[in-house]
Amino acid sequence: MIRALAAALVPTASALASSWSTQVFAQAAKTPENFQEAAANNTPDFQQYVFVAYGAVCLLLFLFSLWAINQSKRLEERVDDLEERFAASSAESQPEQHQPTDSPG
Amino acid sequence: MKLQTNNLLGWAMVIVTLSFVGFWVPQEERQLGSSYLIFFFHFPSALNCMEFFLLGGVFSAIYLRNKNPSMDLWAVSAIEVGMLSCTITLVTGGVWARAAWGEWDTWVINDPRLMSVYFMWLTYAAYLALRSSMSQGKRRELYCSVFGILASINVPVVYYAIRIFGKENHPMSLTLDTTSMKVTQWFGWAAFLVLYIGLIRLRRNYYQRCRQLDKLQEEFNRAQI
Repeated sequence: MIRALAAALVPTASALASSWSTQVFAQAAKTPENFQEAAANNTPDFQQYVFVAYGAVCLLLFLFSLWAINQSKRLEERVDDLEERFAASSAESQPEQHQPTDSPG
Repeated sequence: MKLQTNNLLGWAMVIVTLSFVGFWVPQEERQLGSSYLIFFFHFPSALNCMEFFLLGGVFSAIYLRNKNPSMDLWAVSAIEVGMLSCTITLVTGGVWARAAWGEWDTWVINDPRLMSVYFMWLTYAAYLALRSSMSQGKRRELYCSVFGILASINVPVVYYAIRIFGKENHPMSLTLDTTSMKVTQWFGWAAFLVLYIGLIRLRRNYYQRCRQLDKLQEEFNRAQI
């Protein structure tokens, strides 16, 4: 069953991938012409704006992720530290509680 | 899905969006030229920020109904990531406005949608300020939930701003003719959504840990006494 499914899926997926890559490369080949055409019509080059926008998006996402991960790590350390101190203090107080008392009778 | 897998998948999809934008989308926008490509980062962020702010309102409403503290944590996490998304929308919108309209400093005043988005950003900044100014407890959860619900009322206003206040620079909706543009648009939206969900989960885990830490601290203090 799985083999039959794979036999059907693999050629379909590869056909789709090849058609997609053909389209991608065809489009990539067209792009410089479009830019040349735009330059000929004295249209400003907007590429820099696109790069700035994408760079800003990635930078903001990256900084937020880094900040969130960093905060989580610091909190983790604080929790671990507090748990250790808690365990140590309870271990210290435990023998005191179970000490036999020398009460008469 | 594991949190790390979620984040990695989100980042990979966001990066793939760039290749879609760079190689697949035809540069047919005659008036704007290639500055139109900013749309593929701008639109997903704008749509996702509205979704997360609405989601924050829904979680706040559920909290008020059930008094489940977990809902409050989900609300603040969704709103934080919504703020990130809204900031990205404003930044990319500014860059696009500079490219298309030749200005990026006065565009906020000229356009009802931009004005309402800016107002929404400020409202949620106030939400986060309110939250950080109060100490943890039922009172903070209650106040923030009410604020979250009230603030989410602005989200439909942002969406229908052009219809309500009239069209200025922003279009009501954009029609994409080419299939590759539509696919890139929705793939970009899905990519950012996956990444933002990962970030929401990360922030929610952080707040959950904060709650645990507070409980632990209380126990520790009690034991010391």
